Amino acid sequence: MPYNHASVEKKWQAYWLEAKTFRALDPSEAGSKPKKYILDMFPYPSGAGLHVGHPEGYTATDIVSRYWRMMGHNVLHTMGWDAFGLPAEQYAVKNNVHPAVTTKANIDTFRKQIQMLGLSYDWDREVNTTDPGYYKWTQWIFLQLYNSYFDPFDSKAKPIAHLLAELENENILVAPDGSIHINPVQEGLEAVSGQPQILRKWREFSPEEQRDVVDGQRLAFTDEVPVNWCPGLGTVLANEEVIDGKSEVGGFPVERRPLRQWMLRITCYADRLIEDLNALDWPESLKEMQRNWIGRSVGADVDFEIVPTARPTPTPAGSDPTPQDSGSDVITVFTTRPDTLFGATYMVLAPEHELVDAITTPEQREAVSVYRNGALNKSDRDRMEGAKDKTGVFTGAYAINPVNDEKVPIWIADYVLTGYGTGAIMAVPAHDERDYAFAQKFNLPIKPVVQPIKGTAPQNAAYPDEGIAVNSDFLNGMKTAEAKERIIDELERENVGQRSIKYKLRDWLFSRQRYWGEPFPIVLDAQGHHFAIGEEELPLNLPQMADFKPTGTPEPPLSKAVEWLKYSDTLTRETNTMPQWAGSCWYYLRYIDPTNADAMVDRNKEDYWMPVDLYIGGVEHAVLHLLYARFWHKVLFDLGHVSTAEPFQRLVNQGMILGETEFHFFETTTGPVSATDITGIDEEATERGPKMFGMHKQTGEKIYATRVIE
Amino acid sequence: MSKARGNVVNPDDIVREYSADAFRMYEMYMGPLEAQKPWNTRDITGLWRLLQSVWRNIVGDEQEQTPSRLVDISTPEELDRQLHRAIKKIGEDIEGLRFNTAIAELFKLNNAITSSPVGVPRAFAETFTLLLSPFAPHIAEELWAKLGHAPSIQHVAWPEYDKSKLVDALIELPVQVNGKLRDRLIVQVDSDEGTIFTQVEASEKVKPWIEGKTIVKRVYVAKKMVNYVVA
Repeated sequence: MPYNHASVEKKWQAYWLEAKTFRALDPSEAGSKPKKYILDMFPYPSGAGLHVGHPEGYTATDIVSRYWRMMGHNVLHTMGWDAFGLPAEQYAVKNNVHPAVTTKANIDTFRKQIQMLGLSYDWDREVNTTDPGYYKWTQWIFLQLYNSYFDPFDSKAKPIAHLLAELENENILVAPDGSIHINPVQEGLEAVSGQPQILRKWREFSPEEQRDVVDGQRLAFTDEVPVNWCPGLGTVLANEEVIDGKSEVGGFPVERRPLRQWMLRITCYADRLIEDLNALDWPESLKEMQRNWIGRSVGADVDFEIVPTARPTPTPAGSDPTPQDSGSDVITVFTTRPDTLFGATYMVLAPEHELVDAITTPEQREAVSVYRNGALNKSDRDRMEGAKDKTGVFTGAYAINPVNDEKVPIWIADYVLTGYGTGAIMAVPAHDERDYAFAQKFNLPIKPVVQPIKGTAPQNAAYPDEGIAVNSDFLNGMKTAEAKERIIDELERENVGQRSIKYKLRDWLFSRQRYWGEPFPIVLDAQGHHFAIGEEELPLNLPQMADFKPTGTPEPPLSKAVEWLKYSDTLTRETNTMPQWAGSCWYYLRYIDPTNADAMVDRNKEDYWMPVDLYIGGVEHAVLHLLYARFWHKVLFDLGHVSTAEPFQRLVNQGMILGETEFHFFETTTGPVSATDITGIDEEATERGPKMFGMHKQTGEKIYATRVIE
Repeated sequence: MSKARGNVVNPDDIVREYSADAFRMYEMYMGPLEAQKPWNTRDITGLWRLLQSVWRNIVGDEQEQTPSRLVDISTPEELDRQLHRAIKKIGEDIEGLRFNTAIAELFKLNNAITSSPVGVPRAFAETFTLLLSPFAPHIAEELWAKLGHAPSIQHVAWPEYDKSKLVDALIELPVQVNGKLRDRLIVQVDSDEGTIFTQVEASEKVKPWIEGKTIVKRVYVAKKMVNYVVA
């Protein structure tokens, strides 16, 4: 007989399962065996089943796992399912099948297909993010975040109880903006010179104010955040589901509407997330993607005083609101190039900047109003991408450039965003491409203040690079780096600015108005105050609902689960659910101790297995998944629940497998949930592209062959 | 379910037709792990043939009346050296995630035994099966059983290589006569001077330049070259 692969492969697959050949030993059984933890990015179990791209990474880790076992190592290598998410919910709504039903069927198919490949997983450790025994601990981690704050003096997360103690004993005082400060008296320090800080003591706050102070420090907090509300679909959409202001599905108009959302304070960890990359064995290109995503930049905050405008005489008291006296208002801008301050010839505010109403002159009011309404419906990404064709409106107001006392006009334009920096910029058209285009279009002055060290600056274009300062008074002749230092010193001395560090990274928008996700372990009172439920009440099960369709309002589907909703006579449950990223943020910890009912993971086992020695997956997870997981891991580390500061020591991205023909792999797929439905699940990614483990649609790529095999 | 999806490459179909082992090896043989690679179903055939050939070498094929080529002899030296080099290379390649070059090494080993005039020494077959097992675990388990061992091959230690066997057994020696290159001889690396000179003087290419002349001087620069001065 020639080799009969069909019978031989089935035989050994059955044997391996039965004999538990690939069982990973707990540390108590492992003796002196060294460990290796080899991890795959676990898949979203789509209805389309496994495709030929999945086995690439899985086979790679399988070979490595088998090799290390033969080298005498105790190898942890297992598989699980990232099974919450939008496609299952959309399919469920469309076909009126509960997502739990399709999810289970899809997982069964995936497991069977994976076993067919002879991958050496320890199947006793399989996890499923939608299993209440799993998401109990996802909810538990959320409670850790909720009950912690970031201590800026120690640069680490600590329990809220610690903050309360520090506030009560007045080691920590609170500034008017809610930020916390070490009590200078207790520290034996002189009050900081310069701007007097009005720091208040804990006992001076009312109970309601005290609550706000604490809630303002939690790592999980609520905020009013604009979301993509689509009246036509009656639901809130992810950024990726919105294209040019319309829904990807159906092409309905989408509005930006503020909604109360749960946020996670990842921004506190920005510096640690950058610094700790250095010690990791990751591709340099991937580290650079994370650094760029975090986007740390060092520069200066600069205050521009607004020129008081002649106001119409106040109307008699009691009638229309009186325009407020703009007096000595200042606009603070952040710039990474303070050395170009002498070339700042105008200013631009984001259309939603809080000062716009106050400074706009009556003649410009209508134009400004029209422009703002237009900008309201554009997503941040559209505003950044549409930056080629500059639009904007003059407010009629002026500000004073603090270095040369020149009057500069204040405009509004949607290429300036509120989320990054201060929502206001000083425009230096000679040295910034966007400012240059804007100045050209609106005939604003362009004043060069930096010359190249060699050669000359380009004609009819901005010169954004470094060089030698010119036309800049006391900076003239200095190289850019030196000029930056000098001007910052000068700004600080004159009390019109200061050194400043900014990040592109935003806090993580953590709630979704969906059904198929983890419920928050949170209850609310009539005033909207939130309270954590006890750890002993976990898991908080997702209610069985016959009707989990969108409500037609921004209210999430869980608002229809009337009985589940009611927690007590005065408290109701939070109706948002967590994003799919939640379950995938920590699954590698659960593999270590998958059935532990009393802890997320046993500390001894965790200590033995962590960190992951090799993690293989697609480069599309370079920022979001890998950044979110690192963030959670650091919080758990700070709170003493895990032993390492970083989860994934070595990481490798497998390359794409490209198709042979023009057709896209997915376009002919007709599984219960088609792969094209799956894209767009990620609500915050700023790049279009693949969203989940496994099922990826790569923009501009053809994936997988489309030939008939026979 | 695969048929319903028309012209999509479906792993189920690939496994059914070519085996999971060939599918796995193809995905790893396409190119470096990190690189983008075009899928080409036809290329799986090469991996499928490799597995068939390994099977014929070790187990045989009754249908074609091809007996197993297994022999109970010690592995000839050159084959043994190649095997030890492969143990080292495949292990290093796995740790460095260079699976494509590791598989290329398995191809070479199989070619070597396929063309071996003495058959497939049992010890060689066993080591080869161990080296194959992370890549093609199903066939490796079956071969391991056929070689008379209890499962699982996964519990067997990865083979160790003998450092002394890593160096090339044969080397090429340039031979100069009066400063001119006259031949390149293939010699055993550890041959002594006398053996080398005997080989040189037996060379058909060197003979015309030294016959009938007086050999003034013979120099063997170890493992580098041979110099003859004749008058």
